[in-house]
Amino acid sequence: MFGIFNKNNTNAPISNASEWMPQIQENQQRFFVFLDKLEFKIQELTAAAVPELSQMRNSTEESFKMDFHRMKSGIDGQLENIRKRAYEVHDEKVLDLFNEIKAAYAPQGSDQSLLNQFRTDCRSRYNLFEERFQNCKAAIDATDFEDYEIAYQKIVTEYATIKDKFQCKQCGSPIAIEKLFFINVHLNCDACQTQNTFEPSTQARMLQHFAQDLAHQRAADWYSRFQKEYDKERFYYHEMHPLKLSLNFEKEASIKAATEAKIADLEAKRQEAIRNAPQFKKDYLHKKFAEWKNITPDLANHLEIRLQNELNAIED
Amino acid sequence: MFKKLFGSVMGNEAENQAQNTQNQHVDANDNENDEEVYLETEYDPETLHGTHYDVDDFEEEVARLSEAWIEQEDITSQSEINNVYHNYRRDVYMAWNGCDTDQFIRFDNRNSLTHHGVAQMGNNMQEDENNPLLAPVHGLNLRDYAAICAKLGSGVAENDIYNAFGIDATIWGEINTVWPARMAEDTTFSIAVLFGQYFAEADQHPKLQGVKSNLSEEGEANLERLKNDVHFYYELTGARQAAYEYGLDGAQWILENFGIGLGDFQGVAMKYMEIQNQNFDSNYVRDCMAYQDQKQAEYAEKFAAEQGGNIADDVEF
Repeated sequence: MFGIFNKNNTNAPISNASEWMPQIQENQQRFFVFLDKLEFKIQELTAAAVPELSQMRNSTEESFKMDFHRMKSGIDGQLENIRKRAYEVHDEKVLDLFNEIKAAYAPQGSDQSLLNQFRTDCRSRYNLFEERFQNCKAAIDATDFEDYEIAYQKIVTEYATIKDKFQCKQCGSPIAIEKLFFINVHLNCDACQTQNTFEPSTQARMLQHFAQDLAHQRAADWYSRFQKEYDKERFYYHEMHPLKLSLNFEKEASIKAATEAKIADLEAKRQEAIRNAPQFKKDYLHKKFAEWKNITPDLANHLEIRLQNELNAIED
Repeated sequence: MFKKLFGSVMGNEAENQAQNTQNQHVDANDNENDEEVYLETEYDPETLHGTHYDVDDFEEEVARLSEAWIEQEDITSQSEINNVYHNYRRDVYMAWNGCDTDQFIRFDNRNSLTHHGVAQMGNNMQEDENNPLLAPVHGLNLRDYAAICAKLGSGVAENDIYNAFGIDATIWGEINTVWPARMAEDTTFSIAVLFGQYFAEADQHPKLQGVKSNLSEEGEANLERLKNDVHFYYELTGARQAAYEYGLDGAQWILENFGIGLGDFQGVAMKYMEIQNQNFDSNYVRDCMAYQDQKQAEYAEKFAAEQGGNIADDVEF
């Protein structure tokens, strides 16, 4: 009489999925294909660009090095252009569609799950695109690498050949070049007191500009040691997090105890990393600045001030 | 009484919800103090503090709230302590002055050296005559150095510039090593900010008045327009960026198409940065950036067309 036992009348929401499912399925498929094609383009571009960029970067001609920077900027521009397209299409064809359907149809229950799944699946695929994009970007960025020992050795070799060849412009007497200069220097002739100007070569002038890079290169192992220790804090934090969450629902005492013991162990390691990282950074800085002073000894006093500034900035 | 009223806004137990409670308390007390609430706040032109309270009281209130929170949360890290102070400084400033975040940003920029230990462009910084990092090098001070840097970036013959300052290429080599070294040593960024200020005014340096500019007539006209037409400045900045993104030398492209050298261009950039910081307005900044982005996109299309399009142009959704 009241329809209480009428199983057909359950007040269940009427599904309208048939009205919008085809559209989300189509957009999802087209979005996946779209990203496949963009990924093909970025990988093709990266494969072609990397060897050329590497060659230019390590060219002996200074002008080719400048060309490297321009070309890399162009490649980076194209990569960003592609990335922006992926972002815009995701925005328009996935997120906007999702919001339109939600507003127009207010799907409930399993329909809502379907709609959410569309968004989630597209998001996952987009994240995968981003990951592949970053790999390509990293490969392009890696071409901006130079072994500064080679550049430094060239300067040292050149110095060995020129140090006894400089002559007074007035009387021709030899004037010894006592050290590696990277800027012009006035040198007086011992014989006739004429002031001469020694002008370092172009490559020697570059020394003060890549000295820090070379020093860092020589201290790379120390830097790597610091970075690994620094990263441990977040690593252990993320290891602990799910364990802590699991405690919220754990009723079994022995499991709780075991989990808490694991958390305590991870926390101890996290704290050790927090203690070590600043010291490891200081170790790296000492090594780097020691090398830097070796490369440009004339700047030793200035470099000591910079080292102290950097050490003071580290919080223990 | 006025400052005590606003002081009491912050002086309750729920200090950690200061930002939420402050508005409610201000509203609740509106009826009692109608006159003061509707008076427009006057700001000290130098410090940008409101003139209706003592700065000492302000600092005391910020310290009181900050130290309580630091103790409660057992904060030991100096950078976190600085952060707590910064947040409470913002809360107290905005409550005591009834202002928006743009006004707070102007206040924080103005007092950047005191609040954060670093100098900022836009504060018309004065030289501290006792700062050894500002001592002249080979008789040339920082203003001279900045002027030479700016002029060298404009393509004028080097020796003409050196002669104007009574130096040669050798002396310049030392000067150009020492000043950057001092900037690198200066943890307050003051030397760099002063350099920026002087760079912006390089064309007014007395010793450069006799140095012939090598700008074409078109270049002179465009440079003048760049200085006075902020939209033109953002258009060219966007165009230059687009040029780089298409593998061109952006600075060279500006020189070839508008006759403006990089040194002159960056001098104008410094000037606009100073003005923007002095009169910080987030809406204005956002509009400028949007305009620059729009222009960058327009020029990017032109460059793409010249180069046969973008690599993924044939990929459609």
